[in-house]
Amino acid sequence: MAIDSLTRRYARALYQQAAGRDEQEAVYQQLSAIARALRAEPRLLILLGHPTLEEERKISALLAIATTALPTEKATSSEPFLRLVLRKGRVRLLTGMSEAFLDAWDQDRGVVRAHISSARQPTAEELAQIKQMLSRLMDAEVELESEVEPDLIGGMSARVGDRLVDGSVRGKLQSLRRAIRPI
Amino acid sequence: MNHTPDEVSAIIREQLERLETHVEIMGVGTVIEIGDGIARVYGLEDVMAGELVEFPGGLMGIALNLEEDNVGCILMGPYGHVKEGDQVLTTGRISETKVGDELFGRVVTPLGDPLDGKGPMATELTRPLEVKAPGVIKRHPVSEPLHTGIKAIDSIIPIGRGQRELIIGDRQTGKTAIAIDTIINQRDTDVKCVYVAIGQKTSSIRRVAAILEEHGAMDYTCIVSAAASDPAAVQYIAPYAGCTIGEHICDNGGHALVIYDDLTRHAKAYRQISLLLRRPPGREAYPGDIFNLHSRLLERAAKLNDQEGSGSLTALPIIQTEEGDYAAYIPTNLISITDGQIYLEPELFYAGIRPAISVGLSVSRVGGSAQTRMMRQVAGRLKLDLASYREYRAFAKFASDLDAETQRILDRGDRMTEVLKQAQYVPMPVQRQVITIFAGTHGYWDQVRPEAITAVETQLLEYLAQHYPQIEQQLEQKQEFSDALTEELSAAISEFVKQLDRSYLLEPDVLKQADEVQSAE
Repeated sequence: MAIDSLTRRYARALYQQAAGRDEQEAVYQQLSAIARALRAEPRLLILLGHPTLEEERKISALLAIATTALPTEKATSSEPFLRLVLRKGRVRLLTGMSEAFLDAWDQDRGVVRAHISSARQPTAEELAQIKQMLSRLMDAEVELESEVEPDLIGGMSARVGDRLVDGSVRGKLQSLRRAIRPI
Repeated sequence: MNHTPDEVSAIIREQLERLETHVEIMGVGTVIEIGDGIARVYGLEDVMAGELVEFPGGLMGIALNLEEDNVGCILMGPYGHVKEGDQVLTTGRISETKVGDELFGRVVTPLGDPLDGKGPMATELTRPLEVKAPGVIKRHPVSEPLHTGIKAIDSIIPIGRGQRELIIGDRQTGKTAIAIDTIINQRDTDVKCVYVAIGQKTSSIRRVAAILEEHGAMDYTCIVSAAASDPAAVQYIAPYAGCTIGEHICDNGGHALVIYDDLTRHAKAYRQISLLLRRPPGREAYPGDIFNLHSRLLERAAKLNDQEGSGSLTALPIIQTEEGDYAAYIPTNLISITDGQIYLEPELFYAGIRPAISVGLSVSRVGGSAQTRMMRQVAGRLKLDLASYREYRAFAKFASDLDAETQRILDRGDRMTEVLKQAQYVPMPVQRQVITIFAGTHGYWDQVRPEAITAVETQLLEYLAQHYPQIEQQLEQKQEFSDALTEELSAAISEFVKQLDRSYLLEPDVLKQADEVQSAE
């Protein structure tokens, strides 16, 4: 999903605050719980944006969702942030903020997230190999998400951030077609 | 020797183990918006400005706007199949085109792909479309002439190799004709030509190709075609592609002539792209860098010094004006960028003075240094004389009685105007131009009826070729008039005038008047 600059600014500010208090994990858990809920129930957005509804009730609703991820006393720490987002009318951006928060966190930890598509389910051994190869390539610790995509025919492709490492048969066929097309 | 099945498999297995597969790493992005020949792409973090990017189905684009959230790309072809969410790949190549000798004789797209059905493009060489123009150190002042074969230009507004001369005029005044004649005139020279058609009708481009083919000019000419039906992005890169093709010749010590027909449409294509990319509009809604758009293109025309191989790239940009308004935005920009302009006037065109070059408004700022000595000798004062003639002519409309001197200027001017008329597609070798202009400026046609001059001139050239072939030969070799040669030519022309058919000459009473005028001098 595309993350615009505004979303990124909110997420960065929140991350910097969380990093200062060393509670990235807790904040991320809450944020992602809210993002999940918003994705699952789009009508929640209408509710949260409703002009006649009091801010306190909106906040308590958001905190209630956040609490599903964490014990109550920890959840209240994100209250000021949620209040700010509500007042600025940026509730819509919360799902993106959750992703941008994770990006900022990953960058801070030196972790890159790789999305792997392969024609068949890779074995644990293969996954470990891939992980090793990618971390050498990217010069960072790699966290893998894998997915089976039979369309690739054979091999695998890995997407790391904005970079694509294509070693699939489909990719090779496509580059073959590119080479042939001009003639 | 026979292999057992086991051995075969073993070999294969061994080969398989050693087989290295190549893995490509590319930047990726996602289309977030597409339309009007523009795509906005999310991602592509490492994309370079001006990099080629690939959309699904092999559609190429160029990344022009690198913004905080997205990348604005222009699309080089039909984009109907591209949807929001589609993947975009970087190619690692800055936008480039094919170059090399193989392109000459061909009609190509700005990316160097053939359009003429003459088979694939054999060249492997590519060059980036946008490069910095050669600097001061690499250049040499323009000093060699580039003959257009058009009397009015080679004598009055000479063009040198490495010069940028603007051809400007209303529609249907013969702008393209001048360009085509110039290409045809390079037939027996070492100049290679590139004709860039921007935003023209496909039929017009086809016609140009046919004319060049007919005159044997296609062998050393490359036509870069960005027709009106092509996307604005293709029209935008076309002149840069043409320039790149010419630059390859120039950098290898050759001589190239590039014609941009025309830059008015190029400016409009760029305006479209800029507005759609939401760059701020300025005057007439052109973007702020419209001046630089053309100046960086035309700065690449150059005459290189000997260390750099002494190649040259001459540029003839064409600009179309509306109702003769050469003070409009784009025309004034180009007039200030180029080293002079050839201004074509519709009034002259309709009066039958073709090429319809306005002597007063046309200028070549490189001028005399790009002229052969013989041409300077015969045409030195021609421009001033003709300009003053045009002024007198305008006033003479109101006068009934003119003094002898004025009448003489008018008569001479009428004849010189006739001398400078020239049919299309018949460029004239410069030594012949010199002879005809010599005859005109030395008053040999003063007794010939103005309307007969074109015919008489042809006869003169035939007569000289038959009886005095050495004159033309000497001019061609020495490129200048010695006193002896001047005398020889004068004598030959006098002899020719004496044997001229009476029907070409003025009526006796008019002749007498003319004599009186001469004796009055």
